[in-house]
Amino acid sequence: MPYIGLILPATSLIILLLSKVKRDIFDNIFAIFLLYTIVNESISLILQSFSDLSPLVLYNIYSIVAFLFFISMFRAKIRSTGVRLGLFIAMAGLTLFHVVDSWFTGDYLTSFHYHTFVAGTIILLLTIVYYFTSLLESEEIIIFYDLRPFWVSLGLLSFYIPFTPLMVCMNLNIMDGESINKIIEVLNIIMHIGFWIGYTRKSTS
Amino acid sequence: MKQEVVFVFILILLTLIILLFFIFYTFNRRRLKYMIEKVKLQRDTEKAVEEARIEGQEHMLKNISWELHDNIAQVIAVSKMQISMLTEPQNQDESKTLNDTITQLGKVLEDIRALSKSLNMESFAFYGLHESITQEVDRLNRLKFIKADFSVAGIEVMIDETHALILYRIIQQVISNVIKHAKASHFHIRFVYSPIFLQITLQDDGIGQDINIETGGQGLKNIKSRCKLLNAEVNFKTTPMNGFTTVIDYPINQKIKAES
Repeated sequence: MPYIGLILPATSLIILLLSKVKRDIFDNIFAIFLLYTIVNESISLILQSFSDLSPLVLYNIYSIVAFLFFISMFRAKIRSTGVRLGLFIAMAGLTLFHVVDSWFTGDYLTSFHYHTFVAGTIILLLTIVYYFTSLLESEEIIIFYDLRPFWVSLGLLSFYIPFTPLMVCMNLNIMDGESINKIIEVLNIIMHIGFWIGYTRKSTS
Repeated sequence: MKQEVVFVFILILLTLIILLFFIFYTFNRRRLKYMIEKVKLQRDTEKAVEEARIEGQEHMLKNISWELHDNIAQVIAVSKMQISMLTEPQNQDESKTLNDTITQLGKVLEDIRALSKSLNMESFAFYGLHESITQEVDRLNRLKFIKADFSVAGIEVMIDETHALILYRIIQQVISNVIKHAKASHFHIRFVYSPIFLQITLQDDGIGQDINIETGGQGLKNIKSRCKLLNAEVNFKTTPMNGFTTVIDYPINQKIKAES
């Protein structure tokens, strides 16, 4: 399904916009991220359909921007000033790492730079683990299944935990790209189901 | 290659299922723990507030008891003595009036001392639950408001002193309700001891009341909140014109269990 990468974020964005919950900074960043994903996928499809240009440059940019969005979303939910500062530094470090990695690896337009992806996934996982830990210690635990960030976290975990080893396998030519793409499509669906559940819950938190 | 993909896919799905199960299990467990803690905290707070209220009330009753015993009773005793020392009565009528007055003062003095005793928790601690209730019943019979009796069945079990005092205050509250509202002629207090429970039945033959109608009084609320403090169950059985029965089931061994 070539359009699945476009349909899924578009559906998530529609559900988010139609949900009657009181939106906060987390939702706003998430909405912008979904919009950015839709634009990115659209341009990628156009490039693939109407030109010989590789869309990998778009995904290289996407791989860093997406993580900056995700970390910013959870940063908005974390109250500890120290951890917020730590996440800000991590975001800056990730950006710097991406620039340096791209500089040394080269070939930015035609190959996917998975090092940033792996580093971003590690930071995102640590952020989500911290968010889960603070959620376990807070009063919000009573209504955790109504919390949008909880479901968004589950969606992201479901996607990024298996996706990163797959990405490494693909880059090391252990598995072929077509097979991996099929698995990624399924993972993408699972991730967005998480988002949809989160934005169809009744909570206003 | 296809088999390899299916294998990887199944592996990923299994990992995800285990991960999601672990997350939900952890969160649900913590959620339950938090809810239990919250309920316990709420109950402890309510208990502490109730205990503080009772402590304050006991302090006030003690002060009233002292005031009755050391001031009012003394003044009446002195007055009785002074009246006795008055000049000799001139005739038989005057003599009768004087003797009646002295007798009445003596009765008032006796009642005040009994009331002072029933209000004072130190006196309660000295006499114990059964004796204090017996004195209360005697006081009621002496006042001739109502004909009261007290009976005990089963083998008596020692009750924690604080709990016994609260039970005594509950019984006093019921007696106060009977005197104020019941228009009853008889009142029975019955203790039935079993190895697990002490059942206290307080029954009058008065006008009863419709339990569903809110009267705005604090009496029944006080009884309920005090019973809650003792983990005791309280039931009211009444219909208009058919008397009022209060049944309290107090779990005897709870203090021992809590301590062990």
